[in-house]
Amino acid sequence: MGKRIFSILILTSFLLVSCVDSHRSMKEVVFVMDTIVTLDVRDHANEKLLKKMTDRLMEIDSLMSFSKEESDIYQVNHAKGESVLVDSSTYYVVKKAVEYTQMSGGCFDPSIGRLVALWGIGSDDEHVPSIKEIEEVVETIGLDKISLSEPNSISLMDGTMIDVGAIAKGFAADEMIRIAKEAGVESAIFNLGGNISVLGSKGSDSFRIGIRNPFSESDEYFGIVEVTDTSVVTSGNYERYFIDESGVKYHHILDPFSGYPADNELSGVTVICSSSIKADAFSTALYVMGLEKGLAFIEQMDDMEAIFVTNSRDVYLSTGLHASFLLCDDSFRILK
Amino acid sequence: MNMMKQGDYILIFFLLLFAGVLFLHSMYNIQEKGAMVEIRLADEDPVYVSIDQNTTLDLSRGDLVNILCIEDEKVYMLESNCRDQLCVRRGEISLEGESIVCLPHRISIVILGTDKGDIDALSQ
Repeated sequence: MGKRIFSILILTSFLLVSCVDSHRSMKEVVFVMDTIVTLDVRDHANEKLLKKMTDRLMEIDSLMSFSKEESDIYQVNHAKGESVLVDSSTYYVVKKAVEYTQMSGGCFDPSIGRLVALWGIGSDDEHVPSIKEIEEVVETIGLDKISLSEPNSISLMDGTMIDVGAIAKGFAADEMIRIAKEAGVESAIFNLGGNISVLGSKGSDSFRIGIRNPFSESDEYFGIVEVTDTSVVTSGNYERYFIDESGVKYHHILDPFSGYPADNELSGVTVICSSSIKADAFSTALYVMGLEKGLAFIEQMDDMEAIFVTNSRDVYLSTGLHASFLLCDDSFRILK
Repeated sequence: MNMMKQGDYILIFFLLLFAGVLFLHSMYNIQEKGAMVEIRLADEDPVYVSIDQNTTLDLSRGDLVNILCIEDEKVYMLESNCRDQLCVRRGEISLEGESIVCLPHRISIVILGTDKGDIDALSQ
């Protein structure tokens, strides 16, 4: 009798302790992919899982970096037109990039590698190139300069370079969600340098994601979206930029058609989509499209919502967002 | 039939109590820390400083200069010789979840545990 009770009690203790493990939360901060990444796993967390995630981030960085000589992207860019066999992840990202280029009519385009390098925005060598330089480099941009062949081979027209920096973080965020789900995690939030992906919810509440005020030097937000199981990605002209001697500001979102930073009425675009790689590509694409085209485009998409902020602090929301967006700064106004 | 002694019951009671406390602790993720400033330098383990002590911290490593100030429960980067100066221009932070990041020098400063923050993350 005593033995039985004792066994039951021991079993109960084990069950309780295993419950403790399933409720364990952990947070990790890593510097990777030229940014700061916060992994916040809210249940089923353990050292092994966090290590698997950070290792995957390092791997993606070493495969898709534009500047690291050992990366797939570097190898493809310096192959002088030859076909290069790449990792299946790199191939997937480039293939997605091509798909988004087609969907966005070229407003997002991974073949702007040489243009990005020419401007050097965010590097020690940032400068305004000459008109001739820009014209020459714009000639190297376009989907017809990229050939993909299954499985996993990429070749570029000699002179063209691809840069997947605009979507690699989105891909990495999707990978974090995949790894977390596989480990049985039900609630997590990943922040890859301001590119947010959430898994599940916070108990009975949604996650509250602030949308950065593009006019503030600090991390102020003008609104909040309440989300579950999705990704929130913002592109803005405040992220990386330089100001030349005459006081003109040049930001990092380059227009593949003009070769100059996209110059329109927008200050920032936020895209909400369950696929972070897609949200990443289209936050750039919609910014380049501008307000009118961007709004028309997003309304045709079933799986994406967007927030546009203009230079005059007007906020435009896609139809699906009206219920989940909260404006919390009076100096902005919602016009749609 | 073996009868359990009183001592066994006491032992079992405490075992269960211990397991129960562990369970509740993790369920509700009880935070006993007060407001802290988490400071990370590159890939080193973070260090924690209480936000209510006024202090100036020299985070410089070699040629990389960063001076952090904690003053009246506000935190700001007083000085840095980084290229973009974003950490200095960031100004003061005081709410949970707010951060100062110096990417060129791989430094991150985050405020933890004041429970005043309204959002879970900032999309930027």
